[in-house]
Amino acid sequence: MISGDTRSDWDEDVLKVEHLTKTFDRRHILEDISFSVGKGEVFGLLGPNGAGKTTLIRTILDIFRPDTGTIALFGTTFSDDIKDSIGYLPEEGSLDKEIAVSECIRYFAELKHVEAIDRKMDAWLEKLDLTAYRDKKIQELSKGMHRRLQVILAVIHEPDLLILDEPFSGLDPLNTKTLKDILLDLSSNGTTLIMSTHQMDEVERMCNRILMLNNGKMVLYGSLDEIRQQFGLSIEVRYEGTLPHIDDILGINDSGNAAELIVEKDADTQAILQTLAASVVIRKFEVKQRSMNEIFLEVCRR
Amino acid sequence: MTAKSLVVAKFEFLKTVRRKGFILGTIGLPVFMLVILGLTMYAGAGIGSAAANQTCGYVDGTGFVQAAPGFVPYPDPATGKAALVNGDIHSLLIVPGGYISTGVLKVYTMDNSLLGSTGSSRSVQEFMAQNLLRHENVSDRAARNILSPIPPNVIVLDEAGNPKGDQELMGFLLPFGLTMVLALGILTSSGYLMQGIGEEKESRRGEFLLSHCSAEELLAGKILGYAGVSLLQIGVWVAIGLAVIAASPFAAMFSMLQVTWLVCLAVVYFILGYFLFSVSIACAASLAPSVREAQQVSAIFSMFAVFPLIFLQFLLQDPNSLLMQVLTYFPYTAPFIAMVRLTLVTVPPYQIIVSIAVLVISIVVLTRLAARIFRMGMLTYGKRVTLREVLGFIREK
Repeated sequence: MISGDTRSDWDEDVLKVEHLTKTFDRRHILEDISFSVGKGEVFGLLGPNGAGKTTLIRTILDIFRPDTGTIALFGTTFSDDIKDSIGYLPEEGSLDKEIAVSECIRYFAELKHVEAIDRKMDAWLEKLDLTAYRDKKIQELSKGMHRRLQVILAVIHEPDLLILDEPFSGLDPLNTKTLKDILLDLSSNGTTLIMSTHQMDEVERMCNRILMLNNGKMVLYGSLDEIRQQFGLSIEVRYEGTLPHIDDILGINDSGNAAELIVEKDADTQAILQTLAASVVIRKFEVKQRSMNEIFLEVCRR
Repeated sequence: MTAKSLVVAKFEFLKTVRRKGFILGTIGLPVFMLVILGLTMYAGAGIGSAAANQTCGYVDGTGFVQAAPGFVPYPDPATGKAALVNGDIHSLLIVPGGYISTGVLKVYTMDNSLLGSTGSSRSVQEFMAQNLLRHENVSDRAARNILSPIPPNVIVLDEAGNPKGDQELMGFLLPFGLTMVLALGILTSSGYLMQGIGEEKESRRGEFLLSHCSAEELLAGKILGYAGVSLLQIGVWVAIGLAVIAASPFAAMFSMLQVTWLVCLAVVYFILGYFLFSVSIACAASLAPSVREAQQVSAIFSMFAVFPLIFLQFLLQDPNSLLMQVLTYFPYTAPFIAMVRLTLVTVPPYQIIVSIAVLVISIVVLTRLAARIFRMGMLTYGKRVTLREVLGFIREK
């Protein structure tokens, strides 16, 4: 099922993980994980809750140390300088509510050794429409504003690698769009993005390649096209009558007058159409690649 | 200590000292204490002046009592009582004929307040003591020494039998004071550490912070920052205390203070003790699931800070007892017990060396473990950490 590394557009590995294993309390959280992320890539990290995504991110960030295996960042092992080249936007966690927005940005910027903090702070506050809140306490920010502030903290040091854990979680459509625009802007400027998310539509729109974990193991890895091809085709049919038995069908979701048929990627769809047309009245027949959401659900069910 | 630790320390320090609670506690507490002290002194002065302004009548059945300022004679109890009821006198003293043999006196008064009766009783006793001494032909000079004895000049000898100077005698005050300051520092900083770390855990901020700096840097920065907060607070309290002492009649006593080897040892114990407790408290706070539980855990460490008070009786009775020696070697009690013992008796040098060595080794071991516990503890949200899990944290690379 695992596709492997078939990148062609990215020559330089920003992150290379090899045979990574992490155990807590005799429980394998990550088992033999190997993958790489190239420079400028938008890489999706997928998996159901408890799959090991957060542990993997924490291990990449050197918060946890691997039991076995290696992690190379920018071609070398972890160091303080490397840490300052990485930005991280966690899924949860609120900032200190009693301090001012500018004070918070200054603190995290100083921790990342940022120079000309005020200039960068003002630019980012303007970009994320928070200038009016510069000297306000964080407790005065709405949830969306709070998230935008977290984005500033994650990027003010202009990281080469930005790791995002559920970046769109809990955001309204407007804030989601703002954040997505910023991420795409960063990506176009050469920042490598690793994005852990459950929102498969965002994965399809933004990611070049993905790694999917389940129960701490790699279950999918590769480009979206490669992965979709592995999972065959989907035929959406709207019909009147009773569906006949069709050979070579991998799966079927029938809801009475509409059905989704899952077939092999090289299935003879014309033959399927003819078989169906002989038994039912066809109102719609659409062959398409399977969505990441379907693939995600199928892999999780296994 | 890295640059990131200093950034953390500066942030924690400034954030805390700007809190209203800190300002109120730092300035408000000593002001409150001064107000209480002032009220007590005012009330005390009131007792004296009230007694001084009260005239006492007396009826003498012995024939030797002589009038004195504030004491007016009456020929018989009936006349005296009439004067009392009339408000001419505050109280009436009856000295019966058999007073010399029985020592029994009777006082009539219409003032049933504690202040009034205390003042009357004291002045009557002094009045009768003067009359008795005069009756027994005691000289005025001897009577003065009996009634108002001058405190003895206590001279403490060293092991060679030579008198120790006053300065050395006073030298114990500084180490003892440092012990109290250490206890106070631990109590105050443990509160700030607990609250700071507990809030970060509750708001799940630890992960974000650890993506900016290492657990070691974060821990060191927090300890340094809150130590600064604690020292600032204690510094303000001590400064206010010294200012009050300087303006009091005890100022001359403190001018004899000088730095001795005892003070140097006290400083060593202070630094080691403070570091040991801060690291321990930070670890405990990182393992607690909420601020409230973190504060409960901090009470355990606060207990050690009040050990000298709990064991004060044993300490004063026998500072070199086996129990006190054991507590001198136990890292969490060593800073307090050793420092108090040093102010009371001569402690064998080997005990001091062992005690400091145990403290240093404990700090080295604990610091190594603390960063791991702190790192993992900060990322364990919303549940109590079991001992098995803590052992797992320690085994983490």
